[in-house]
Amino acid sequence: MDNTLNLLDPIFLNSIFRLVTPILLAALGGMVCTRAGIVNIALEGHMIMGCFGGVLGSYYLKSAIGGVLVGMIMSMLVALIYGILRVNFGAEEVVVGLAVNLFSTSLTVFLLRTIFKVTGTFSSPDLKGLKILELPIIKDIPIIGPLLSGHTIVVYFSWICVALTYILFFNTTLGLRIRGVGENPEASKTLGISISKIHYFAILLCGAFCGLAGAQLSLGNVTMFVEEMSGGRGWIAIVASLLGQAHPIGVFLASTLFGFVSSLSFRIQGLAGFV
Amino acid sequence: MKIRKSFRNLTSSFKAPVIAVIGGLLIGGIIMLISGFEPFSSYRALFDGAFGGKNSANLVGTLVRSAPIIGLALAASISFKAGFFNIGGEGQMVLGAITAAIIAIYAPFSAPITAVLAVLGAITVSGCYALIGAWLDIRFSIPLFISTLLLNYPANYFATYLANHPFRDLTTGEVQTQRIPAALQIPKIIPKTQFHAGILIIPILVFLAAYIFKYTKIGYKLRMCGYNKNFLTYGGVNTVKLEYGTLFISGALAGLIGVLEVFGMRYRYLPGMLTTPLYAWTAVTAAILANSNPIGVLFSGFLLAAIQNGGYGMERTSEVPREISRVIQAVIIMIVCAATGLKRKNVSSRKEG
Repeated sequence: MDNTLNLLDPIFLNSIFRLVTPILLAALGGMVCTRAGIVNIALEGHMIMGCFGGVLGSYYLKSAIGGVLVGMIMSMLVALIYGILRVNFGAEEVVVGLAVNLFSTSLTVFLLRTIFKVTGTFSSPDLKGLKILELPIIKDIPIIGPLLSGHTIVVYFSWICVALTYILFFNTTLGLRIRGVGENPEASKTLGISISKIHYFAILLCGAFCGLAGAQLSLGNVTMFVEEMSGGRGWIAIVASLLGQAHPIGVFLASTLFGFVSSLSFRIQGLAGFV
Repeated sequence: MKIRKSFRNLTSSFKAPVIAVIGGLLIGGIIMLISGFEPFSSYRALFDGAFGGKNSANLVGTLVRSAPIIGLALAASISFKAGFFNIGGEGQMVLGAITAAIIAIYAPFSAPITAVLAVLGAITVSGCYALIGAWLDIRFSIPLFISTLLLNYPANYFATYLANHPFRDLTTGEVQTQRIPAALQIPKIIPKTQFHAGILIIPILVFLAAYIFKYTKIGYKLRMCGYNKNFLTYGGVNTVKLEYGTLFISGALAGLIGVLEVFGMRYRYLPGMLTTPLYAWTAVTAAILANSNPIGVLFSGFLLAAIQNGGYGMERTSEVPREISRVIQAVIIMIVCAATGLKRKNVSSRKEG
C-alpha cells in the first residue's frame, strides 16, 4: 500500500466535495431555522428520510431525479410534523427534535424491511444513481479540475443554494422578515408579520435542504440505502451552522472544513500502519 | 376536599402520558395496517412478548431491560428537574462501564476492594465527564443539550478504541475486553434468566431520589432551580455550584448503571452493548413521559421497556419489524410534547388576555 499522504491525488481531491455536500446542504437548512429563531436539531431525522426517499423514488420511478424529489418530499413531510408540533402546539423544540430523529430513523428501518424485505442494506441494479457531470474547461485544469468537477448535479446545486440563501437573507423582504422574527419576534409581531408562517417557511425549507442532502448520500455518494446511513452528519451540520455564525458564506466554509477533515480521515485510514 | 384535590392532581398529571401511550399505540397500529400487517394480532404478540412466555420469562426479560432504562431515566430526571437538560447519559454510562471493566480486570486487589474501586472509579469518571457540559454551559453559555449530546460521540469512540486496542481480549476474535473475574460478577437471582441482584438497587435509588426531592433542602433547591433560576440566585443560592453538583450526580448515576450492566449482564465491555439498545434515548423518553418525577420514571421506564421487549417478541411471532416499537416510542414523545406545549401556551395566553 502507498505509504505517503498525497493530498494532490485527484481521487482524494474529488472526494472532498462529495463529503462536504450533505453536511453543507443540511447546515444551510439548519441556518435558515436558526435565523428564524428555531433551534432545529431534527436535521439528522430529515436527512435519513431524504436518503430513504431517494432510494424509494429512484427504484420505483426509475429515475435518479425522481428519487431526489421523493427524498425531498419525504423529508419535508417529517419537517411538517415537526412544524405542526413546534408552531401549532408550542412543543419544546429540542425534545420534539429528538423525537423526530428517533421517528425517522426507526421508520426508515421499518419501511426498509416491509417494502424491500431486507435488513441492513438495500441495493439493486434497478436503482438509478445520480450521474456524474463534468464541468467543461474547468475539468482540464490540474488540481482545481478534480476538486470542482466530476460531481453530481446536487453538489453543483448546493453551491447555488449558498448564493440563493445569501440573496434570500440580505436582498429580499422575506429574508428580512425571517431575520426579524429570529432576532425580535415581538417587534415583528407588532409590524403584522405572521411568526407562524415564517416559522413554517423556515422549517419546510430546512426539510427540503435536508432531503436533498440525504438524496445525495444515498444516490450520489453511493447507490444504496443503509440503516442509519446519515451517520451523525445531521449533528455535524448543526455545528457547522453554528460555527458559520448562521451566515451562508460562513456555513459554506465551516461545512467545507468538516467535509475536508472527514475525507482526510478516510485517506489516513487507508495508509499502511493505521489500519 | 384535600383528598379530592390531590386525586384531581394525580389524574391530571397522568392524563397526558396516558393519552400519549394510547395515541402512540394507535398510530403504530395505523402504520402497521398501511404496511399490510394485522394490528390486533400483532399487538397481542407484542403484549405476549412483553409479559407472557413460559413461566413469565418475557416479563422477567422486560424487567431486566427496564433496569438500565429506569436508572438512566432517573439520572436524566435529576438534571431535568433542576432545569439542566443533560442528555449525555449515554456517553457518561459508557465511560462508567469501560472504567469499571478495566479496573475489575486489571486491579491486583482482593475482590471486595476491587469492586469498591471499580464503582468509585466509574462514578468519578462519569460524573466528571458530565461536568464538562456544565463547564461549557457556565463558561461559554453553550447550551447544555448540545454539549452533552455531542460529548456522547467522543465517549463512545474512546471506549470502543480502548476495547479494540489496549485492553482487547486477544483470545477471542471479537472486539471486547476480557471477562471480569468470577468473584466480581453479580449473581443471578432468578435462575435461567438475566435477572441479577444489581437490579434491586434501581428501585432503592428511585425512592431515595423521590425522598430527596420531596423532603430535603437540596431537593427543594433543585426543584426551585427548575422553576425559576433567577429566584434562587436572588435568594442567595450559588446556582453555579448547584449546576456542577447536579450534573455530577446525574453523570455518576449514569456511570453506575453502566457498571451494573458490565458486572451483572455481560461480564465485560463490548462496544455497542449499551448504545445499540438505545437505553439512554429510551430513558430520556421515560423521563419526559414521567415529567421528571422519580416515581413516575419507574412506571414509564417499565412501560417503554415492555414496548421494546414486546417488539422483539412480535418480530419473532408475527414478522412485524421490531422498529415499530421505536416508532411508537417517538410518537409518544411527540404527543407528550404537544400536550405540555399546549398547556404552556394556554397558561401564557390566559396571562396576556
